[in-house]
Amino acid sequence: MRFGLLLPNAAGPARALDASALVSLAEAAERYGLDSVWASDRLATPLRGEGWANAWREEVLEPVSLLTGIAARTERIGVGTLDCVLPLRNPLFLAKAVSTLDCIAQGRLLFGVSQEATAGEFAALGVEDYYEPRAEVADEWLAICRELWRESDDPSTFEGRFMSFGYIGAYPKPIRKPHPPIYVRDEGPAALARLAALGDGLILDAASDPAKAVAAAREACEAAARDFAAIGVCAPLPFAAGQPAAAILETASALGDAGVTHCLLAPGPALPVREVEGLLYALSAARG
Amino acid sequence: MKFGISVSNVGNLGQSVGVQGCIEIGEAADALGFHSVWMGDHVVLPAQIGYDEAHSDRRGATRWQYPVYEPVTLLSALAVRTKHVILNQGVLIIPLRHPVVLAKMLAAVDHLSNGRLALGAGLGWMEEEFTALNLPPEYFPRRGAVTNEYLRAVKELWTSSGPSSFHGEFVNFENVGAYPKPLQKPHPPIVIGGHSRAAMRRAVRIGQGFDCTGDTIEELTERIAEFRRICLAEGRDPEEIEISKNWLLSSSGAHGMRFQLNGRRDGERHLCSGTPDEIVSDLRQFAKAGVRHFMTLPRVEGREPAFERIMRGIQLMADEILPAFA
Repeated sequence: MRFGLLLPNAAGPARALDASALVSLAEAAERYGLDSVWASDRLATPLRGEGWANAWREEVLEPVSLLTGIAARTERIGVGTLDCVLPLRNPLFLAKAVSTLDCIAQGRLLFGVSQEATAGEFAALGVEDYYEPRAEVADEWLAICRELWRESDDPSTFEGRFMSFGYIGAYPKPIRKPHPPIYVRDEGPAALARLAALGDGLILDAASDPAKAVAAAREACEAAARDFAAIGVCAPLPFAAGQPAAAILETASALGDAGVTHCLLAPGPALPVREVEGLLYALSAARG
Repeated sequence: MKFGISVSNVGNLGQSVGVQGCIEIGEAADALGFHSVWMGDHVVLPAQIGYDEAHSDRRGATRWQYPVYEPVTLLSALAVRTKHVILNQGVLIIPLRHPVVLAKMLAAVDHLSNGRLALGAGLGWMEEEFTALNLPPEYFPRRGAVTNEYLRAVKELWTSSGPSSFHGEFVNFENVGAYPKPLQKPHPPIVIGGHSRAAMRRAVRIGQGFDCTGDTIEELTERIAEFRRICLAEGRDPEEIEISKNWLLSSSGAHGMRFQLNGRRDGERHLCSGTPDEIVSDLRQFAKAGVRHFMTLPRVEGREPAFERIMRGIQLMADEILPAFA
């Protein structure tokens, strides 16, 4: 079993945002032998009626920026976007930013991608037309990234349903060849088809039953004649203050039985960053 | 006069130093007492570009295989590997990135750097780059208006105390949460680049800095005098706006600051090239013209690889040039 840490890059009333503390936490994760750190994506937080009155206050540090800072201060640990929302960013910009991040990380980037955001977020980013066909847009943006990342003696050209361009140079290429591993968020049939077509890993939702989710992903891969054994399966493993390391390892073991290969430790929303570091230490001691 | 170093993220300034080289250049500038680090911007390099009056030397085939490390991303690495320098963009092409993405990423840089971000803003000049990014066709001909509006949207996202709303011609959003805000209050300084009267007006209206173009002391003197007239006409104190000069490429083809230590020189001496004494004397002319912040990529001429000549140039600039203006 591999272990990653979901960085608490979303702050709220219970936890103030401290970017330096997040970088230090990632350094600690590397020191304590974790395999990866991950950051979630939320570009805009539109108001959505009752119950969301304070949602706009949610502070989320932009993940590509945060992970780039972490990559520049670490040497071994993987740095992952948990759910980079593809349709919200221009794919040419995204391909270049991600490639630059992979160069800074010297090939340690894990590119976790998502197709999902609210209709309000699409509107805020000026791409409301992409909301309905967001699965197709996500697929096309990944195809564009792969075209721009491809080593070639000729300039890049692309003709798609949503975007076309011709004869451009897109350097640097990522360090990792052929490109950083793509981790697909488990977001329904279109995402599983994406996984089967080009994914290197699957990221399960915290709310889903891991055994059922793994079975569905395996089925999608088998239907596409894709070897499921080559695909890493990540699942969040929530933990709260005061939880003993042994209990976390027990949960990890159960997740492993369900087919999960990579546990992403997910600190509860009220847990201070310092306590997260304490737990990483305890976990590292318990794993020997 | 303050001094800044370009981290050389745009490969066409010479041999690529690689992204680790960019970071090491930034670390050296930070350790040796420079005031800022700067970088250039292209999202893509079209393989062919058309004629453009201001860049007539760049028409035709481009060196499209040169690397350009994405500057907003690179800033985050520099933010955590330096302690003192201001992190600037000289300049970022504003129409190429949606203001919500730009505001969000730059706010993260301001947090990671403990409040050292400055936003250098320009319009761009390469139409093919706009086309490749699939921006609406009116964006390139109206890039000045797009830039003005995008900068206003970024300021709204950075400064509004509740949910942010913006209704313009090119960008519209309603009740958007854009947190975290940058650490700097009211917001990180905005440095406007360019040479046109429109750029000067933009700097006077929304800028805390003006990055003036000009390849000769005469050009700079004239433009800075005009800039001061515009400040006064718009009711703004010219001293409030820091005038910087980005000395990377000039129409004479000279690249940045070049230390020629062995006395050999082909033809006429370029501005900011020569012995340290000659360069100090040139820089006094820049200061006299009104430049308060001079940024460049210094190199020692010689046969070593570009990266080594740059690192020696930065050391020499710190030893021989900065003390003369302390």
